[in-house]
Amino acid sequence: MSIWQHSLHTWQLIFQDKGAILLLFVAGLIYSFFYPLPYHYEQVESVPAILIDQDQSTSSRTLQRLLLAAPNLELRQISNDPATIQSALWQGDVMALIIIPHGFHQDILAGRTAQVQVASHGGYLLAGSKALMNASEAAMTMGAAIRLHKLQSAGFSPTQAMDSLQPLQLHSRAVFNPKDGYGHSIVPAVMVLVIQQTLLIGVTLLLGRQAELKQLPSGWRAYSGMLLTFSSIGLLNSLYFFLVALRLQQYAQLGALLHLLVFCLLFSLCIGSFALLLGRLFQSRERGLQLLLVSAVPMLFISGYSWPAESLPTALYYLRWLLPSTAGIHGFVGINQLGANLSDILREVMALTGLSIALISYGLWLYRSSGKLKA
Amino acid sequence: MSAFRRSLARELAHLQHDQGDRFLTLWLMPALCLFVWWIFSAGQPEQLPIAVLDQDRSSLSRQLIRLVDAAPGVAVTLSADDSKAAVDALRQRQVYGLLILPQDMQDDVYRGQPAELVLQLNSQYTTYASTLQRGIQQAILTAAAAISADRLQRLGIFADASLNTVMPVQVLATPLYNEGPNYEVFLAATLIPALFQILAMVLTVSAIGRELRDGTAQGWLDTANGSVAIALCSKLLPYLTVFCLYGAGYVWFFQQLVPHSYTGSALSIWLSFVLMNAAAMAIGVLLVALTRNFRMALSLAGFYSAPAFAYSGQAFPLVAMPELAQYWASILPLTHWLKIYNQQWLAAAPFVMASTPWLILLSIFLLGSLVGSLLLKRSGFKPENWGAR
Repeated sequence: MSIWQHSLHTWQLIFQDKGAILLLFVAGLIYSFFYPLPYHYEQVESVPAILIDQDQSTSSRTLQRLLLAAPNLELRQISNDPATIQSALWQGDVMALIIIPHGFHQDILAGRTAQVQVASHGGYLLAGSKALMNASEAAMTMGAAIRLHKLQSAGFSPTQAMDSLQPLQLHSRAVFNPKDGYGHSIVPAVMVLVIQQTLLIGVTLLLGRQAELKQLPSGWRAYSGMLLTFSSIGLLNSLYFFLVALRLQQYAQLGALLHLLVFCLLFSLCIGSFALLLGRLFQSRERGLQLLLVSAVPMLFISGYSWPAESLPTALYYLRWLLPSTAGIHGFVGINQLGANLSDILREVMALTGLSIALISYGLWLYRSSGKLKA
Repeated sequence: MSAFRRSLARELAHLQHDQGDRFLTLWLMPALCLFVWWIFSAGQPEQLPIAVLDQDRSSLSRQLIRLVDAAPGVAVTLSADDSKAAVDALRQRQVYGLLILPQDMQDDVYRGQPAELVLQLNSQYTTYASTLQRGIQQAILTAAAAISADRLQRLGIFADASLNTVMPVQVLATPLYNEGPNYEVFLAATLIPALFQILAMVLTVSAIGRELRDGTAQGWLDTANGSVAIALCSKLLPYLTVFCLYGAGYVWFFQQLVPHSYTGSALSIWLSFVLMNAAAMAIGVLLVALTRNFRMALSLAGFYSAPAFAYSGQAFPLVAMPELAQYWASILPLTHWLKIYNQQWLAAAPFVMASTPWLILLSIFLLGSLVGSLLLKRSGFKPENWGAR
């Protein structure tokens, strides 16, 4: 059989296999909507918090008003009863405590630094840092007002006073993902993993069955034909995710189309050859499903995306490039979300090219003959 | 030999004989746990690279760069010459932030004019952006405070001490449980149970699905004297035992690693951990009984458990999710177990205060195993339902 015939034969096998169709085509469609769902609102709009006002003074009430006006804080209760506070925290009704201690007003009057405590549940990092940010802003507003007032009463003009308050002002700007959305950050990366994992599992399912039937094709023509088919499926899914699903859900898409297409092609070839390798390793239909379901989460975190690559152990910092998803995540996020072109993601392009060459060479060797396979 | 022991021996004999299934049952879990812990073993993000565009080139700017470089989590790795090169470096992810120190910054500061510094962040990479923002903001505030105090002194304002107080109102962050943003605890300790949940379902579906696929279900039932309850319990006991052991290992490991973070009862968290896995196993029984197809049940188990962490509310809070996502989260054992983790293990809440997630886990377990075994009894042992791939 020629390469084309092998490719066609593989397509036929796929369309006779409900399990493979489900994984190779349907799963991607479902995940493209199911996975982004929790992050639909993108932001933690309001963090439920308790305010404990131990000072009960004019100053503490001023701060209380500022906190009530804070955009992401939802002051559920203003309480001083330790039992109420403890039980609210234990039941998870509130995620942060804001404590205005005794002597707050006195400290301000005496010109000492008055302290406010923000205690957040360390288990919920995102909510905790949001609460802290809002409380800090309220405290800074109040601090600035106090100093302004004092300087003015010391005889400074309002502008002079303002200027000496803040000799250095830091303006932070988000260059990419301008709204700082959580979903906008995580979903595009996970999409790459979904494309890779559904292909890997679908192919091992299909080839595992062929291995059981002792019908796993061999020879370079068969290998190339299968590679053509599986990479095409990877390409179809990539195009669906990055041209349709991303846009439908209003995720950023800044890169040039041509660069995106070239990278889709490279990535598909790489995951296709990776899938063929695993297909040869797993000797039954269900083995791939059993082993690969747990691999997606670790693959996401070793890519160096959600968890900084600089903080990975040194060995993993390099070994992570052996998975197509690592270059895939950084490359696709680079093109779509950062507006990179191929030269900006040269490292990822090289990684996928090198990995593809290695995987295909090894695959050709592995598939050179039917060989004796262990059952 | 009793029916239970006979059936148990049958399952153990299978595990002894099947290398792949033995690997899944015994070795995959510890390997994954160690791997996940290894990923996060640094604890906190460190040395994240930024570029500085120094348009001032003054002693003040050099001092600021040193301060920023010394800030926790930040490393100044690139000194950019123009903003185009700097933005390119940002896009190429050589750096994740760009700090611009404007021209005449030092002069402005000495003249009493505020100088405006700009920090551009790659917020697509959120962990980088938030770590950099925190560290750099703190460094700049410290520098500004020193300058401001110095200036007021030069103006001869000592009379009112409050004017020297650069931050009249200061916020102290005190994490209640889990000190510092320690990702080792925040991520590794919660991701591992998410992986356990996936494996609990995979192992259960595999153990039962295999019998239906191979048409050996009757033989299985026969060794258990025709009792579906005995057949199921004896088959799943080895797996539950493994979860008990590895669960204990998990609790012990993290308790040793960060004893000050885990103030609650280790026994209670271990029991709830076992219950979560038992609940996931019950859902596994249900799925395989519903589909009577090994492959299909595995696919569904994957759909149910693989994205569970995203829905669990640990990384992104449940209250910020759409209602539909919250409903889905509520049928995942992991969501409820993480509540127990946060309330009882981290915050040391007494059992009565946080009994709801326990009851829910128990209900999922009971409902899943009851309906699952009834369905299995009704149609799982008919030859026409075997052999589906």
